[in-house]
Amino acid sequence: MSFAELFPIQFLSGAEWQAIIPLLIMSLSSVLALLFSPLHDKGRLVSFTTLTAGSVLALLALVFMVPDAPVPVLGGILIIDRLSQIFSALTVSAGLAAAFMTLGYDQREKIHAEVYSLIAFAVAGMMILVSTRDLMVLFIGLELMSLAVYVLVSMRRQAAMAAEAGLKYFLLGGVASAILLYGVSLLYGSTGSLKFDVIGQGLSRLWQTGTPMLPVAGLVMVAIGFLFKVGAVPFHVWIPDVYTGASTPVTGFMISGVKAAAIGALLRFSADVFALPGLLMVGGSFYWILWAIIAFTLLFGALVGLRQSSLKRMLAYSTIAHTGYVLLGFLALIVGQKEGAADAIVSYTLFYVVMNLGGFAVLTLLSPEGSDEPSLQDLAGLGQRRPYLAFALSLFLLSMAGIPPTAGFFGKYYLFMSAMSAGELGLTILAVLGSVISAAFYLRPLVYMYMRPADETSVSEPRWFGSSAVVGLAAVLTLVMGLIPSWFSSLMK
Amino acid sequence: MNQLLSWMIFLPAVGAALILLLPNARVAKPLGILISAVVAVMGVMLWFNFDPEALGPQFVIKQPWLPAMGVSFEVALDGLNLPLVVFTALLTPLAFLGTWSLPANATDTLQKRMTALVLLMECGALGTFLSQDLFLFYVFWEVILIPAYLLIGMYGGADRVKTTLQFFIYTFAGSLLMLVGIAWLIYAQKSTTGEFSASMIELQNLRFAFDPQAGWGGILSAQGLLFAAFAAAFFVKSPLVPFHAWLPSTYTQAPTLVTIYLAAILSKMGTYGILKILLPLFPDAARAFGPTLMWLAAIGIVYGALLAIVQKNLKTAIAYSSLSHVSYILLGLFSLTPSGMNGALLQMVNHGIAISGLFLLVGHLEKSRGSLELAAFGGLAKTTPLLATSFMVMVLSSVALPGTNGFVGEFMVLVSSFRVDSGATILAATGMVLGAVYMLNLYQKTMFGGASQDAPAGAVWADLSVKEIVVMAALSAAVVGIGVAPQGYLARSKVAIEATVKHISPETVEPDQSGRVSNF
Repeated sequence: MSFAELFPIQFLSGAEWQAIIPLLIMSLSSVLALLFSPLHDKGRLVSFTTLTAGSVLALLALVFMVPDAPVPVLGGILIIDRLSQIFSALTVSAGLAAAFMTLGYDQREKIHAEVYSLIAFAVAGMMILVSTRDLMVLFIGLELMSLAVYVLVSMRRQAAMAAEAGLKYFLLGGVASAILLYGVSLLYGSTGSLKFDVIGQGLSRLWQTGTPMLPVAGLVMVAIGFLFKVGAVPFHVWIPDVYTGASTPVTGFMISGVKAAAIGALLRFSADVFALPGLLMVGGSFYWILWAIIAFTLLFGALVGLRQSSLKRMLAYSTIAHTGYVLLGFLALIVGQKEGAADAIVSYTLFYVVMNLGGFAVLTLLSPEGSDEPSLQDLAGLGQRRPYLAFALSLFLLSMAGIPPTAGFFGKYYLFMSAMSAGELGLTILAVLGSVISAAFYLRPLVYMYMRPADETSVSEPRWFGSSAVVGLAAVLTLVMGLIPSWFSSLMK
Repeated sequence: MNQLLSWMIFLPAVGAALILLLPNARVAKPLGILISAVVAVMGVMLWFNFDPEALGPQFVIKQPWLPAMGVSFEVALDGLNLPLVVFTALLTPLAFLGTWSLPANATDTLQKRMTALVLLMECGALGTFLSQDLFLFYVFWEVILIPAYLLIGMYGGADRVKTTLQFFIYTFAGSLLMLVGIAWLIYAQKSTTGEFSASMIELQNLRFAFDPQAGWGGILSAQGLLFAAFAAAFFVKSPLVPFHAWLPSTYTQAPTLVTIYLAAILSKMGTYGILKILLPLFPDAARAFGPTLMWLAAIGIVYGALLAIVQKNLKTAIAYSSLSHVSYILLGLFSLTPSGMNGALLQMVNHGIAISGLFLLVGHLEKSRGSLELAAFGGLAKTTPLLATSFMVMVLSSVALPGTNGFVGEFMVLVSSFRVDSGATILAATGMVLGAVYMLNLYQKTMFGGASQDAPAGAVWADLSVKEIVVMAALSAAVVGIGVAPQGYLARSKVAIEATVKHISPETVEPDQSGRVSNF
């Protein structure tokens, strides 16, 4: 028996190597950052630099080495194409922003230097997650990301909330992963493959002969796994506590990076499997279940967000509402509006990541020492005290509310448009209703910043460089994307 | 001339940014006036260079903006928006000048922010009026909301936060429904012609299913739903009863400068939207619902007038009077006749002039008295003759005395609506009587009689300052000028209005009658 038969290692071609360079860079820098972090005194700085350098290199590679045609790596375990490049770039940027936001904050809250390597590991997991069309690799990417994030959530050792949040996220996330994995096994059992497209073809064949329970149960379980990660009602229960308990930069990272990765993976899976023409007919009620999930997600996030007095918690609930908008795009995709809906989802994710990173960078700067949870009251008089910071936060909030000329407006418009083209008038009206309700709570911080005088007791906010840089960049992007959105859309074509 | 419209829209926005970045707050207001005066000069140039005979938009600028969606930066002047554009451009510097020293506790940052935000509102208003692209129209329509929200919330009266939130939620809800409608229209355009387009003129060719026999059930057809979506936005902003709940408190709580802008210009965005978009795009629904809407407008006239009569607060009373007067505009629009709509368009500007003058004077009184309770006034005609005189001119314009601009507009509206629905018109005409009652009543209580018992002993009533005199003189000149010679004004909109009416109801155009009335 020869060596090659004993160890069937496939060798990568030049094009394949080139395609996975960004992923390799991220993986390498995550390991290096981990190795450097215990360095006495300098560990923090060195691992931060490693992560930043790695992220920047990966971003450059992603931007300048776009393959003309999709490159399948190792027989399709990974697919590097336009979509994976865009979502990888988004997640790398989210990781980079999270690292910058952690700068300064980590020293005050006594967070270990390993935080940077964990961010890098999570980003590497996200990149795998969005570049695969193989369920097993998808699961590996998902777990690589999730395990790193579980630790990130509970890293703020001073706070009891953080440990609780980490445990909650770990337990629930574990259950969700298990359900997803079970679904994967059912799909594998009924179609004999783990590849998205083969599963899709297999399912189409099966549906011609009736409604087989096994693959449908598998699909439902996979869907639950995804819905958990994007935080749709009723799989949202972990969101408020976990997002509040985690340290603010980590929350920002989860809200932007983790969610973008989950949306990217879901988009790939939907294009191949969920958007099969027969699926909505199977069982008949599939469509209405999805419809109800979207409707509840849209309204729940808005209604509960209205009652929050903590800014972080408010934004946590608001992300549930945003999930509702994205799912609106997915419904359009599944109903058959493939092109428009996919574009709308990608654009919205981009805009969403930018405005949330900006928002959470502001929150990081506002977070009071010890509690880490700025209340609305803390914002009083911010318009006088820190006019530029207040302006940036207003911009992000208005963008989330969907008011032109900000990025969020176009994101929302694209999704409305795709929903309308799929004939979903009812859900669009519900989305409008949700928007109006959430506008009420997006405006409340503005009331405090500009219309209430500052407290006597209010302390001045820290002026960390990293978070300020993220705020500035995100604010500029939010405005520019709102003024020339076509430029960003053309980037994605 | 070619880029003039872009300059008009964006100069205020650039100026606003500049003012916010200024280190010296003292020059904020003079700079604001200077910028808006430049815009006003451009407006005047447009007025005289506009060709009244030409059909179709003039000074067109069209740049692709979101090509994938068929959206472009398309602005142009036509007979429908010309009066409003020029009016907005002229009013803004006057409003600045008239409220120069307001509010009394003005700090430096306040002057800066207020000036900048009002300039942003001017940018939004001019952009809304000039847009020929539906999507662009929406963007400008929303742009104006944030400065208005902030201005009321930061510098309004005691109840400002609640008021401003209510104002925002009402208008935002309406706007979002309009956004859904816009998405629908653009998509419908794509499925009909194969090309995305948001150009208002191209969208006018779309025809949506509508069953005129179904009565109110017609609202559930495609055209009915679209009509409702756009109507939600326009009726809230105008406002039409019963979409007016935000109005009284907002007008009362807002600082004078903002109240002027809200009453004179923002409300016209709603009525203009009806004229430019709602009626031409959904003609079948417009014909079907027009009569009912005329009744709602007539009810609004009487309802606003009755409420104005019983108010104890001067500013609230004028706020309700504004509701009543805007309803005349709506009555004229929903009559769907050339002269009714032309009268309504004239009335949009007339109402703007009168209401600006009234709120300016109210602002002056508020500043010198610190209160606006009617009981706190009396006998001002003796102490402040200039104030009393200019108040009189505005009151006369409001009650539509012949010779003033209000008369021309209201007469055209009532004459043509009478032909369409005599019942609603008779109801509306009682509003004219009620209008005279509350206006003269207000005037009598503030200006005549003895000084109020509530007034502190030895209270000094300041008469108008030089700046205020300039503003009131300009507004009064407009009142009389349009009242005596409205032809030049009406002629500029005639062609566009007739084209619009012809588009809405091709069979009902009566050239001889409409010609006679609109050459009034």
